[in-house]
Amino acid sequence: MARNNTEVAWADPALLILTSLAGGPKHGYAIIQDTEEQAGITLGPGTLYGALARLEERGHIRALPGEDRRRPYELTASGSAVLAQRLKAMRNLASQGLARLRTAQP
Amino acid sequence: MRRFARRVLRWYPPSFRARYGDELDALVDSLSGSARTTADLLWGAVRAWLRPAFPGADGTRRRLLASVSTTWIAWCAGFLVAPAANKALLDPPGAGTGMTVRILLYCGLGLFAVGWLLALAAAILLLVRAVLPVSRSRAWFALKPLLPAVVLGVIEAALMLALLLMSQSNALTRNPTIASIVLTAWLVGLAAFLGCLGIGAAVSLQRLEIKASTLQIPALLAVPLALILATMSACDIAAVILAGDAALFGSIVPVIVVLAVAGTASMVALTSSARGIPAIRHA
Repeated sequence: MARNNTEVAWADPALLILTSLAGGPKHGYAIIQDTEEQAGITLGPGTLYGALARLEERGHIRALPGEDRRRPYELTASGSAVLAQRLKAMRNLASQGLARLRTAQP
Repeated sequence: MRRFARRVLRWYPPSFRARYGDELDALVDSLSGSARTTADLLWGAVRAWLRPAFPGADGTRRRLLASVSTTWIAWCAGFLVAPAANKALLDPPGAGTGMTVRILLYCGLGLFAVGWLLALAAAILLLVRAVLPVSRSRAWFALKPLLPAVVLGVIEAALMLALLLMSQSNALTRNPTIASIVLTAWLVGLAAFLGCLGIGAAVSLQRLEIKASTLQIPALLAVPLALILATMSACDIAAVILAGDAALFGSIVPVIVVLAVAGTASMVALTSSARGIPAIRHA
């Protein structure tokens, strides 16, 4: 479960993880902290690793050699492409929505 | 609460634990052991079972292994539907056991035989290509989980022999209480035997660390086996519905339990074997 305080959810765990990893390789706990700071959303451990497994299976992220029991993950080329595509779509949606709000507001 | 969260980690699928268990364990150590964390882990475990992911270079092999193991466990859980429905409806035949019911039951029995042939073919293939080539100590380590099934199988065979001898000497009709106890013990033992056979074989397969290329044909055989289980269950469910309550002679509850288990097992087998098809192509 991804938890946030807003009534309208806008992000899924896979997108949050890819966005977090765009800033550089991170392990699970660092991804949770980063997502909390950047998006105000707390990813639970089960949600996080479920999404990590799915992203790794699709080749969007890869695991790096671990330190102790923690393993950092990094974006792959396909992960970067998917993230860029998704963020562009979100930017278009955001700009259209904001433009509509501006014209609708008195 | 953290202790409980750690316990929940054990409920994830073995393949998931093998890949992410240590990392999740370290993460749980770093987080507060709140009820939300535990609930999230629980939900994650459910999703990992329902939609397993097999990442990494070893993903194809683990996907094939999961398909073969799950279909085998489902077969062990569900194949009894054919003999159970035959016993309930034909021994002796009731008022509702017409020709259509009989045809459906015989179809179920035919599929039961074909299913076992397929399962046997896959087992022989794995024995020849995965068990015989390894050293004796490694084969023993891998096959040890099947030991409870062997022991229970011998006990079940002995109990069955005792039941046959008792029925021939009319001891069963003279001592209905003893007959009921022995029959119940035999049925409970049968359920335990099938559980041990299904899970024991799955653990053995995992221990053998079989190559993806060796798992290709067993995974391919798992697809028709799942279809046979589903068709067999459908035939027997239809036969029981057509025959109606009167034909079941008061054995309606055990028959419904067997049909429900077989129906669920069929869905699990179909889903898991179908998910293995892309991996068969890549192996």
